[in-house]
Amino acid sequence: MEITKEKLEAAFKEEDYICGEEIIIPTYLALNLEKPLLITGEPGVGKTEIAKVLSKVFDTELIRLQCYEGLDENKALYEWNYQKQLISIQINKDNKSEDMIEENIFSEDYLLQRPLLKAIKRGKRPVLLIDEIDKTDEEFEAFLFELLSDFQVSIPELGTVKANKRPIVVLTSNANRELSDGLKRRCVFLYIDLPSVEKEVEIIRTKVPNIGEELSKQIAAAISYLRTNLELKKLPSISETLDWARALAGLDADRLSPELIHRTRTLFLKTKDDLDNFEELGAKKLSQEALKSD
Amino acid sequence: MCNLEDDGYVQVDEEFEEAQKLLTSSLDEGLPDYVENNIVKFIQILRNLGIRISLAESIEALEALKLVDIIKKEEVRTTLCSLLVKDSYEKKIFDKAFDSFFVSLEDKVYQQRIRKEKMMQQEEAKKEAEELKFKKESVVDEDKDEEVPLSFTEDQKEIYSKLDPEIKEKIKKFIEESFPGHLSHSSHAQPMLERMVSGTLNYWKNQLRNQDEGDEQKQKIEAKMTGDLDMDVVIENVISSLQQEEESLITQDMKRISDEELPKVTMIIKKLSHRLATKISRRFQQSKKTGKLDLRRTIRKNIKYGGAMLELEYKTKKIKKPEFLLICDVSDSMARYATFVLQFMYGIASAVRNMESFIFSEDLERVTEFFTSNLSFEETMAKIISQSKQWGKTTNFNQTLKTFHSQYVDLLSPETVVFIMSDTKTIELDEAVMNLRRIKRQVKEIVWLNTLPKSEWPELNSVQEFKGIANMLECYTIKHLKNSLKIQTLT
Repeated sequence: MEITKEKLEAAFKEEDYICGEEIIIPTYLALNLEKPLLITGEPGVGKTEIAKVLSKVFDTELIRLQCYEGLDENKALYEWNYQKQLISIQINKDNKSEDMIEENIFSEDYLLQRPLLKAIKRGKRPVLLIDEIDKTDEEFEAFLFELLSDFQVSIPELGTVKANKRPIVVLTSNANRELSDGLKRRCVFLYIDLPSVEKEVEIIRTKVPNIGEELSKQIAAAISYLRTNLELKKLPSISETLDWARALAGLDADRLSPELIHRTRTLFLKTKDDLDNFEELGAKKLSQEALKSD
Repeated sequence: MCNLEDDGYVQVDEEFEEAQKLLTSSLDEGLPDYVENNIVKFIQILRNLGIRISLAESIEALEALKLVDIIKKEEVRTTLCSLLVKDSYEKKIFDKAFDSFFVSLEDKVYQQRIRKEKMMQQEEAKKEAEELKFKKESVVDEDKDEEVPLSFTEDQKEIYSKLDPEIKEKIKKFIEESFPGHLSHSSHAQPMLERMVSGTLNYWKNQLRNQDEGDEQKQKIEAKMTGDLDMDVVIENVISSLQQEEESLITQDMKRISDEELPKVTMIIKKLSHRLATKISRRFQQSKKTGKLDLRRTIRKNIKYGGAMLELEYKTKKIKKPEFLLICDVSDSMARYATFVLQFMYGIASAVRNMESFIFSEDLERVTEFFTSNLSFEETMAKIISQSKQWGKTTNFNQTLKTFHSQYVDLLSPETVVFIMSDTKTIELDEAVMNLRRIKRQVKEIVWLNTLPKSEWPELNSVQEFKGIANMLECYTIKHLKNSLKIQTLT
């Protein structure tokens, strides 16, 4: 589809991804300029979700590369299926010449395609999600940004493989490690901040349809109060807000009460320190703050 | 031609004109000139505020503006931000610069007027230094003296203008009395006097720096002015705005952090050390790197396949966690820094095995046990300060190292990374250097976190000596502290 900012905005809304221009414009620019989109922000603000939404919007495959410490080219790009190669050698050692066997076992049938090669070889432009890039080593990052420049790889036995269509690339980072300037320069940058109360109400209403408006407002107000007034180790993110909202909806709650907050507090507070910190504030106080939104 | 650096970035000083030419030529005629010029100026402001932006990125940002509605300010903001900014800290600077630069004409004129007035006041103040004159025999009339103004740098003139009237009088008197009578006829007299007064002014520069003179002096944001009134107004606005926020806390000298700001700083340090600790622990728990092929185990495993090597076994290299040893100067001038460094280390200690902590001033004291007990940081510090004999004394690094050698040398291993936090100022320097060399031979690395600004390093012999042994890093702000601990040995 031909991309315009307005179409993209409508498509995101259709996929229940509630956001403003601060997310739409960088995404639109990345698509138009054919550059990777580098998304950073607190865990749980919806970074990975953008890639999923894009794959739905463009009705294309989502290929995901989950990064971790020690990830290398073999796991990310391709490797030879050497077990299959060895079996083939054993089977053919009596009826084929050495050259024929070699030619045979270094063909595409024996190649294990990993996410990056898959993304390059797809006929239809896929969405390539490189999740938590900050968890990889710097060497892998250097390899990656070379790949992201040309979208081609050289496999010595097969030659150069070039992307038919440049994938839509989304990288996410939790900023555990600073990324290299080289990689950052190649990307369109998007920082997703925690949403405003109004935006969060809209998100709750969209993602948890069976929840009442009053309760949505109270939840958003309570979460916002926690984020700004309590010095928490792990700020409740959108995903925690939604978990809490779903739980409250499941309990048929129509408004927040100190007791309800106390019983469900572990859904939005995830460390012991934060729970202790919350005890000092008290469920009653949070309930009062949340009810102010009425 | 502009001068491209190795990393593809252009020296800020030289590129403005070139960048402007390139950018202008890259645009369609449809875009009015003033937009291009404003964007180029804005990019230059961001660079001067420390954001690295290459020419290619600038051109791309301008190209991208053609894809959005440039009449809508927020669209322009988001577009430029997504192409010029690379992390959340830069985004804060960007937003402030954007809000300050893209303002109405009336606001711009007003801002410029204020800046002009301030500059004029500064110039007037600098003129005061012209009163520093040297009397020497007149070339025309030998019986008469003539007054020759002494030559100083702009920086020195500014320092002079900030001095108290009594100090100014003292300097003038010193000039008058230094070369009386025939001594003033010597051709060496004037340059010698200029050097002496420069030395005095440099001394006062440091003194002024050490005095708490309010936010303007406290702030250490790396920014430089352009000389263009329009741009400098914005740079100044951004700096002063950052001073009022949390960011200023991480970029200001730690010893200037006031008691009221302590809880906020404590929270920042907790967050930073927690993040670093998570990272360290993840790295050492999850490494999946394999080593060499283990033939013995591979053959044994593949007997069932008739010897075909279908399943490979690798010799895995056991990665040892590094051992950290912190030696922290808590002498009078260093005690404030020590509080923050210990706090940082306290946070990291949760993820690091065998972390040893020492404090020193006249001698060494081991404080590891305080950190391993289950007390809060505040309680731990209160306990250390009340029980320590070293807090707030003078510095003897040599005695410290001697004690270390005699009592704790067994703690060292080739995996140990030693962190020393000190301003390097100590008595018995030569012996201390020798003793530190001995330690260096037994450990993986020594990292010296120096609380003196880099600009002062060349003046100090102790810095030069210790720099040859340890990896010395500037560390007087929380940002420095955070960056120092990002080094390869740790992460």
